Amino acid sequence: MIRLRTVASTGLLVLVVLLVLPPFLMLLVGSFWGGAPGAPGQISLRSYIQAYTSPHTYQVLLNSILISFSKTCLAVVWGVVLAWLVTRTDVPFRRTMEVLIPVPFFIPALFTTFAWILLANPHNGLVNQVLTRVFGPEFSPFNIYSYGGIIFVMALGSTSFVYILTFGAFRGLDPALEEAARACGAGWDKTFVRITLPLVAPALLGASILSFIRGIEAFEGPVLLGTPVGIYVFTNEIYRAITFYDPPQYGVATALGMTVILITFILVFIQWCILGERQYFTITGKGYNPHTIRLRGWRWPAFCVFALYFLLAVVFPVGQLVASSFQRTVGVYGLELMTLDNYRRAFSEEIVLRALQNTLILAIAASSLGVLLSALIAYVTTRTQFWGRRLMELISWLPWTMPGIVLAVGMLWAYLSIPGLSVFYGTLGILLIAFVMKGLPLGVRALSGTIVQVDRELEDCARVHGATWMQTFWSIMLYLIRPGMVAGGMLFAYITVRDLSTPVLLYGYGTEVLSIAMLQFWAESKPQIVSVLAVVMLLLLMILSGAQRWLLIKGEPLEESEAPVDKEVAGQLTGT
Amino acid sequence: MAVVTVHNLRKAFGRVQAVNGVSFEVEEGELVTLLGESGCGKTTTLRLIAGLEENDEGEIILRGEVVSDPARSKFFPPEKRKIGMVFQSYAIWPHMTVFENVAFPLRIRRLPSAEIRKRVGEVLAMLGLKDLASRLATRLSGGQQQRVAIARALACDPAILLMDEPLSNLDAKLRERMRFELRELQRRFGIATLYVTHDQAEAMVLSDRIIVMKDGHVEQVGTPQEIYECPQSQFVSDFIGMANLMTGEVIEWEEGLCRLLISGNSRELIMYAKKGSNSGPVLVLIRPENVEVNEAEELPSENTWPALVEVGAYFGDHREYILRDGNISIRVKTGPRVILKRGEVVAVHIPRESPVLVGHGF
Repeated sequence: MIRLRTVASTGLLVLVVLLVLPPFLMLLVGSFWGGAPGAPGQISLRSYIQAYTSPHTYQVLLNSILISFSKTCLAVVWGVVLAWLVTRTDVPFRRTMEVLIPVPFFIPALFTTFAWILLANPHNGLVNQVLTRVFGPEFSPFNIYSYGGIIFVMALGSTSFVYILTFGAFRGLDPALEEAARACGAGWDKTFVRITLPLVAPALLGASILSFIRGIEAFEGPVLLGTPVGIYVFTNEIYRAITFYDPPQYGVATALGMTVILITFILVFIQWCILGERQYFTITGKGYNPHTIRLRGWRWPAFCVFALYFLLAVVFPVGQLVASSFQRTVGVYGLELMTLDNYRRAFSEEIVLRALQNTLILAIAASSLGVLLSALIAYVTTRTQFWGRRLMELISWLPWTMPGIVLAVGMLWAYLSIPGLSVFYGTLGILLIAFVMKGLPLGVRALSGTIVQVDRELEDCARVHGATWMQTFWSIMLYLIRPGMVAGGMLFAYITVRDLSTPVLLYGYGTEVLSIAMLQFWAESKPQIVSVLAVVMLLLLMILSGAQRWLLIKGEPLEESEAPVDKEVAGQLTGT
Repeated sequence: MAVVTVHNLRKAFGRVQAVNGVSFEVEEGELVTLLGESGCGKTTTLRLIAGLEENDEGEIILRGEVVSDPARSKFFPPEKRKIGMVFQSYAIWPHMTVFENVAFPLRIRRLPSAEIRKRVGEVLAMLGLKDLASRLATRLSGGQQQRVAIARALACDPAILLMDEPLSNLDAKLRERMRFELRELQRRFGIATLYVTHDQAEAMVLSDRIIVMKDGHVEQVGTPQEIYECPQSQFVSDFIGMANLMTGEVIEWEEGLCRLLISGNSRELIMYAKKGSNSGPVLVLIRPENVEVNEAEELPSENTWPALVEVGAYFGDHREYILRDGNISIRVKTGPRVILKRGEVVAVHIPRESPVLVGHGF
């Protein structure tokens, strides 16, 4: 007898396949197809040959690796020092630090990048202005449009990311392991190098690889800081191939896109191998106060490490963009020069209102559809014996390997060349599909984490008392996993609100979103309007996180399910 | 000269006074146990001596050298004190082999590598770990992990060995065996040891002297026998072993004897006791194994009371009963063959030498 559950699961599998696979397959097909999407062509290696006989491509490859590697090193050192200080030492204000260090991660890269352009551009950047005033007109050392600038801006968000990912490992470490070293005669410096660091190495390596992948996938930094001075990495090179040339070089874009996917794939695989092999178990201590290391004279210098980070990653960028959203002329400071005109002008622009409306519609639609789909997939893959559950899990993971810009190229190919799908092109529909797909890997993970924690007997009990499988899912499961649903929903909304790389190739006239509007006003040299929109975007994200907290408190969440979900959110906004 | 001298030690966590004026000494080659319920400050005391916590008041002297004295703002961090420590979780570093774990304290002290190999080899051999030297520390059983932890603590010839409930993570059977093994090992190395435990049986087996702690202060110090037979407070008599505690009024003293009236059942009790100065009510301790149970026909005679059998339990090697006489219940320990029926009335005999006056001096 074929059961309803199997039919429903099969239906779900088909849906997931139809959602995820077309951009993937068409990216692959497209890379071998001579022509533009939907246009005639023939299977050949021409795109690859064209891409890989050009020395420029190797420069792009080198740049990508160099920039991502440098920013990863910077972020790892900074992030690990912060995590260590907060969890293992008596640095002042560590409770406050614990809450504040993750903040930069939730500030969109677009926001930080614009802010640092205004802060450190060579013409009228605030930092340079201050330095010239102090040290004379010749002293204007910072130019954000450079390798150093790109690495610095990218490292700001990544530091927070590394911190979030390694914090748990540092905190979970049994303090007795370190105390034993102290008792054996090692000072805190030797203890850190020989005991603490090797023990958190697996978590550290995992965080480094993830951070490196995010670096390869990053779009905002390279396109805003690199493109103007001819520094190209994969992402802004793909963007250039499609938008700069006429006709667009789809072949090169897809060939490069496939390369990025391959690199990501290998890195994910390496991480998986390493982590699978060397998972140290750390025996939990007696819950003794883990702040074992007294820094003594080093307490305040250590605090400065944090203060500097928070200034650079949060206070300066937010201060700059808020300030410039009230300035008549950007870069000219003075209280009497403050004005609300920028806000008035921004909100009288039709495109701004449209972008705001589109962003809100997409955020709501993507989060409701995305979270429902994630919940169903997570349920089938963790709780049923459905034959295709492994396949479903794997497919739901595939978008993980695609940076936003590559996903967009794949979507373009799929929705332009597969007959019937082209109706979506240039509508909000294609953006909705793209955002749902982009959020899927983490959405599924967040919800699996929650579902696993729900005691199976709660469900069995409903079945025993006469509920069908579907009734049980709707009336018991969905209710019990609300915290995961809220977190998952917010995750989709966050991605939708802050992402630039996915919509940048997929929007059309009338379907602009907030990030696209910012890019357009930037291109028109209207930094005040950009600042206004950046502030609006930040407010929107703050409202979202406020709403999440409110929903969780209101819904009286299952206490224990909060932590793992938050950790998932940590990995969420990969490469946006 | 004492290996460790602790004088008037105090430590507060926030508003909780964890250690409140503790003083004691540990002599050369001696094993001293800090015994008490969880939260009595015994682990904190140990950590203060190790330097893992900083004491607010008092001084700690290790082999004649003051290592902590807040009054003179003197504080040596743990690595500057010559100690060996075994942690409750063993704290075996999972990224090192057995050899590396044990060699760590020697490497930190920059000993030549030939010397390190020799000494680690010796210690491992003494603990029967020689074959495990290259094993990754995570692939060890609980008992082996513990021995590695001890080997590591002993490797650098510490002035004193500190042990924080080292047996609490083992299963019951192994725990009992390890008690004897630890005792034997400590004798063999002849190292002064301070041992923290909440398990009174463990303290009895292991210790030369026991320090019973309660609410951050020392309740009583003595050999296991002194602690068991002459407890100085109600807490100690109740905490160590099982106890029948009764209050009574002294009727009269006569040459080493004391005649009492037990409140609760208003019966007379004659016991050996030196004359004390206290006149008011006294506390009498009678251990369950020192109470005899006879047929009811024995009544009436000296120190023999009728009692009703309330509950009984069989332990294999002995039986325990709870008997009642008036308002007092008496716990007795009998041989496994002594079978009393519930509701039966028996005669309870308390030999003159059995009772002890609590807090009355030795």
